[in-house]
This record gives sequence, structure tokens and C-alpha cells, in this order.
Amino acid sequence: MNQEASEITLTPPNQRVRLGAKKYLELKRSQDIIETIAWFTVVLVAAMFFLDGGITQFSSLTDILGSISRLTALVGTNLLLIHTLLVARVPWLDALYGHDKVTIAHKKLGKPILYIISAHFLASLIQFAILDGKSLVDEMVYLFVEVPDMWSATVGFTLMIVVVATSINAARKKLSYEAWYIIHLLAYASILAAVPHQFTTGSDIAGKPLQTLYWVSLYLFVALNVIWYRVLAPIVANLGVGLKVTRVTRESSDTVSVYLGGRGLERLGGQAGQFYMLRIMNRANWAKPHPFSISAAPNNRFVRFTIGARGDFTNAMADLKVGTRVFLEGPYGVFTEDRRTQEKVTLIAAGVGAPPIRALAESMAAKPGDITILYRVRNHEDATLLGELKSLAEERGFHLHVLAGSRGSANSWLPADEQDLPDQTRLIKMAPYVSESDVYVCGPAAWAKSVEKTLQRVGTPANQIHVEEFAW
Amino acid sequence: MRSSSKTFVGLAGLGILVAAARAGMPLPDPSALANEPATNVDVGPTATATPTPTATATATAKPKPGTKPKPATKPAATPTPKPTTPTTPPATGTAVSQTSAAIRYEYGTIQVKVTKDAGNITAVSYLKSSYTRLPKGTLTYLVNASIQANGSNFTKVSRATVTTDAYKKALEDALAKF
Repeated sequence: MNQEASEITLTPPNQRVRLGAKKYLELKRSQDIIETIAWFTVVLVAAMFFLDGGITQFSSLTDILGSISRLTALVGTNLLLIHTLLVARVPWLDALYGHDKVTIAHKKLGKPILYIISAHFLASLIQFAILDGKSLVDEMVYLFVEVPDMWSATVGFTLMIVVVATSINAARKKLSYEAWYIIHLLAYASILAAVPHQFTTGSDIAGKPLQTLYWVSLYLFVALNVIWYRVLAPIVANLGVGLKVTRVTRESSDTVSVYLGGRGLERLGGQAGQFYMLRIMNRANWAKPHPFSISAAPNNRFVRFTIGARGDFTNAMADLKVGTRVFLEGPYGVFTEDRRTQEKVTLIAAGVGAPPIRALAESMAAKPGDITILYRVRNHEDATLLGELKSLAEERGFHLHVLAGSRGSANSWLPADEQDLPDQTRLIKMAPYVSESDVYVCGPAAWAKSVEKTLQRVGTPANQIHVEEFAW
Repeated sequence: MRSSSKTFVGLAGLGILVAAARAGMPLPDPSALANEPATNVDVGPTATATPTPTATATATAKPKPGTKPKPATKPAATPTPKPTTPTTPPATGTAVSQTSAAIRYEYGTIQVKVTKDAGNITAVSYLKSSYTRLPKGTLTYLVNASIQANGSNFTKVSRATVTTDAYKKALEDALAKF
């Protein structure tokens, strides 16, 4: 199964890498600057509201409701725009946090924003109902029919509820990824529908030049980032390269490697350990992007993904026809050598986690003995990319430990052993430098959590543990 | 975010908000607006006539040394409107009215008739107000607010921003004719 290994010519590794604690501190500093700016935009809109005398409007119930409605609208919209920027796949955010962390932040913000916007909706509805002396239902109808731009704002709010409701965990489990994705695109419609009423009737924007300038700039900034990075930049990159499937090879009973070729592949850029959103451009799949890590270091001969059969889409990969067009968005992720600060490296993979680990092993700058690879598999015969990892380890002088068999105790991430030693003891035996190395972990989420726990026990500092979380 | 940065963002953010809230406080306070024209009328003529009341005024302000700048600015601010009261000396009791131009805006037309008595707005009536989809009480509020503020310096009606602006335009147009 693994004879293809000999056909692969290894890409030369990176010649140098910057190491040391300073690199990590610089990263933290940049992250803090970005987060500070983000929080200060929220402070700024609230401050503009207060400067405008917002806090003095508390003399009657309708005044209080009006103030709540204004403040929640300002803060909610500001957060909503940050929330949108977080999924724009902006390279400067991806490089600082990684696609997974950015996506998690986006997920966390979703519900609070809906609550804030709901508060705005309810407060203004009740305020107007009292002012007009109407029932809530009558006022709702009145606002929808009579007041300019309010109908579109209401539609936007409804869409927002749908988008958030379909994204809570219980609903995500019942929906297919594709169905969820299409519903989630409505979020853009939701934001656009709510824009007009902010500028025409919003008490804090309409007729105020400074505030108008701020909001127009923020909207434009987010819109341009989304349009360029999420839509146009991938199209431009793909048109230039024109990727097509050049070869499909079987790696194990349930994995295949898909090779892509095109003009000037080096223009795609990217690093080992990163992933792309992959669209197979045939009728069934063009609208269904799926994330896959490259399984060989970037080179000018091919782009390779090694894909395990886990669902409808991945099952179909084995039958891909040579010549099929492929559209890539990316590369994304910080599971790369960029995050390395130590001379020694420990790479730990399990099953589907092998591809990025294989690419990292190929491209990392290292002397013989610097890198230790632990590869957790069911059995030696049916382990994907094992042949390649073996020849890689041999050629570069890395230590490779293949850990085959069913696991020992329920909490162990290692196969059963006769002496029944704890995981941390066995880890230190296999990778003596583990506590002073950068550790890259990729595999199923529960397994990776268990590895992380063991790493904490052996004393590897948290900032040297790199785990690729599959979140999209 | 590191904890030191978190602390910085938290404290600085809070500081900015508090400062903004304090700075935003005195401007549109409705009670202040209601009182100011009244005190102007009381203090104005007496201050120009006899110097003794001003002396008592500054004396009462002095006991707060910590908040010196504030009492200092308030008497300084009040003298500026003072001249307006003496310069419009038509005999008290004779009300004069002026009509504004018809102000056309996004949702309709507004035209007002303003009545002044001894330099103070005493009544405003609508000759035209063609926009009907306003929050209840908007038009009455605008009239009351302009009488209280004795001009167009009052907070607008939320959800009737455009109408408020048009009303203010009409009001100022009429006031300019006095």
C-alpha cells in the first residue's frame, strides 16, 4: 500500500528558522494590539453615545427605553461588524491567531450579539408603542408598514435569529454541513438589510458627520476585507494557477492522496501544516468547500491532499477523475513552523492527523535528531503515509515511533503495553526532549485533548504545544 | 490577551466612558435648560443695575474651592446671554409674532408661527406640518421644548430626527425675523 513513498522526491527543508522566547512575546504583543483596537472601537461608540448626552435621558420610562435601544444598537452593530470580520479569512488575523481560534471567537460572539440586538429591537418597539399608545402588535405592524427602512431592519433581525438558531450545537448536529453553510450565508443578507435604518433613522448616526464617518468607514473596512479576502482573492489566485486533479492514489484501505497540478504552483504560497478549503468543481460539489491539510510540503510540482473516507464527500474522493478542476481557498492556519520557538520538535499524529505532520516533518529546519515523530495507528499494514514517514525519518535522521494497536486504558492516547506504565512515562521514554521541545499535535479532538494533558504533566509549557483544532 | 493588557483595556475603556458620560452630562439636561432662561432673566437686569447681587452670587459660589473651575465658568457663561435681554427692550406685555418660511424636507413641509414676549418665546403654532407618521406627541414636545429652551437648543425626538431638524430650521427662520 505504501510503495508510492519511493516515488516522492522530498522537498528540501527550510534552511533556517527563528527561535527563542522573543518570537513568542512579539506574537503576543501583536495579538494584544489587535484586541485592544477591537475593544476600543466598542468603547468609542459607547463614548460617542454618552458624549451625546445619552446618560441623561433617564427622566421617563420611554427615555430609558430609548437610551437602551440606542446603546444596544451601537454596541451590537459594532460587535456584529467585528464578528463578520472574524470570518472574512483575513490573512493578518489568520497569521496572528490561526483560522481555528478566529472561528472559535466568531462562534462565541454570535449569541451575545443576538441578545444585544434583541434588546435593541424590544426596547425600541416598547418605547414606540408607549409613545404611540398602541399595543405591541399594532406598533410592530405600524413600524413595518409605515416607517421608512424599518421593514428591512425587521427582516434582517429575523434572518439573524435563523442564522444563530441553526448554529447552536443542538441544531448543527441535525443539519448537514452543506445545509448549515447555505443558511449561514443569510447572515450577510441580514446585515445588509439592517444597514438602511441605521443611517436614515438612527438617532446616533443620522445627521451627525463624525458618527457617520466612523460607521461608513467601519462598514467599508469590513465589507472590503470580506469581498477581497473571502471572494475575489481566491478567484484571482485560482484563475492564475488553474488547478486540476493530476493523480489519485490509494494510501490505505480508507485514505487516498489527491495530487493537483497547475501553472506556477509556487504562487499559491503557503507552508507545511496549513490547510485549504477545497472545492471540487463538478456539478455535485462546487458549492461545498471542505477543509484539508496539505500532506506534502509546498513545492512547484504538485499540491497534495491525503483524505480519509469519513463521509459522503470524502468517500467520493477515491473516484475523482483526473483532469477535474479544483478550486482552493487558503492557505490557512498557524500549525506551522512559524510558531516554533525551540530547537527540538516533537510531532504527534493519529490517523487522519498524519497529513500535516508528514508535511511539517518534510519542511522543518532540523539537524538529525532534532525531530521526534510519534504516529498512532490501528495497525502497521493499514497506516496512511507510514511508508513516507519512515523514509523521511531515515533520510533526515529523525526518530519515528509507530504506535499500533488498540488503546490500553480508557484515558490513554497510547496503545496498550504490558507494563501498564502511565502515558507520561512512555512519552518521555520515546521523546526525551519533549518538555523542552515544540510539540505539534494533530488527530481526533478527544485524543488530542488527552495528549495535551500528558504534555502538561511532563512539563511542556503551554506556548510550546500546538494543536490543530478542526473548526470551520 | 495577556492579563496586563486586559487590565489596561478595562481601565482605559472605563475611564473613557466615564469621561464621555461626564462631558455629555450638562449639555442636554432638560432641567438645566428649563432653569437657565429663567435665571438669566432674574440675574441679568439686576446685575447690570446694581453691583451688589453679583457680589453675593460670587460669594455663594466661593465656598467650594475644589470645584473652582465650574462655578467660575457658569457666571462667565450667563453674562453672554444677558445683553440679549436688554437689547430687546420692547415694552413687556406686548407679544410679537413672526412666521417662518415653509421648510420642505424629506417627509413633508413644516411652517411655524412664533410668538415672543419680552424676548422669550411664549407660543409656537404650526401653520403647516404635513408629515403625519410621527411618534405621538412629537409636535407638542417640539413646541414645549422650544419654549423651555427659548430657542432651538434642545434634544431631538428619537425616531423623528429629520422632523426635529426641519422644525428647528423653521423655528430659527422665524426667530431671525424678530
